[in-house]
Amino acid sequence: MQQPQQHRRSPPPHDPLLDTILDDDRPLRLLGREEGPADVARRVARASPPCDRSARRGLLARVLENHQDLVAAYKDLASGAALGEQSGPDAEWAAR
Amino acid sequence: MLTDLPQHYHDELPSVASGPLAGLPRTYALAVGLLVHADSSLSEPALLEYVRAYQEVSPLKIGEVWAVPIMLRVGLLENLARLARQMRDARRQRARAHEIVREATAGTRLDLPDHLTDAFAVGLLHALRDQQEVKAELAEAVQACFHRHGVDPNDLLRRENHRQAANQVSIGNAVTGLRLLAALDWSAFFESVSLVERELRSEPTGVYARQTFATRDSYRAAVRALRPRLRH
Repeated sequence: MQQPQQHRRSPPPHDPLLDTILDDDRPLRLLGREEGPADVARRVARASPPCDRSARRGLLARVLENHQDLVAAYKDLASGAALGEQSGPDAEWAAR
Repeated sequence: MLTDLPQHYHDELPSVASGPLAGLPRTYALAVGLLVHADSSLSEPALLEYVRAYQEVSPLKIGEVWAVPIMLRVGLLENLARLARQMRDARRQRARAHEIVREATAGTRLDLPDHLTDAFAVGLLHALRDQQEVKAELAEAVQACFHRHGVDPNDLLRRENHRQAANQVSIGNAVTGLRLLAALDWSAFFESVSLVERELRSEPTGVYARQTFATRDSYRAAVRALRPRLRH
């Protein structure tokens, strides 16, 4: 019996900008690129075709999670700074 | 923020249909794309240019244009949270490195992990530096570990300093960006980028444009009521 042909959608082209968005362990930045905001906007628009389905609700949960993480990080870093712990320039905001 | 983005409003926002960002609100993808590109450094002219260019490819609905400032705020806080998580993780790893060196100095066998992260390795270097008397075999064991992992201490310190400095800039940009979002006139922003608004303003009598913002908004609300409902 002939197997039904599988139509596989080709994976989208690799895009460092999108990779950065999706990788939770990386800050949202991509340095050393020469494009202007308009070029990036068109690229993001092509990578985000709309559909008539509403967005998944995970974003609101993510907002709460981020808030909790920020508070926890502030408490951690501020308590470390109060104990005289040496921190890098990135933790200055919590040491003030 | 949850007040600005109530569930019913969130449910009205179309999502990305396919590709790596599928399922996310389209306006979130739009906002975060700009933040990644600009390292969270926002300015009104760049934002206007960005949203207009986005709509050359894919027009935004009225509700989506209003959602841009909210999604930018969500994105800036997402970036701050990512940076904060990275800082907490690095701090934990540095503390672990100090603990291991302290235990080894007290006579316990030096037990280094198989995988060396930059933060942990920098913690080891700082812990050795902070010890008043470093046992020769301890310093040699750390050096051997670095050699095994192909870590050059100078490169490592340069890389870690660079990461921290870059994070400091990103944090500063994100905080300034949050202040900018609070200060911008979003009604003016909306009317200068909305494609529906452009159509309404093109009516030949010019009456629409001369009306008050509230009246124009009621016209837009009528247009919005014509939109098809989204599926959940």
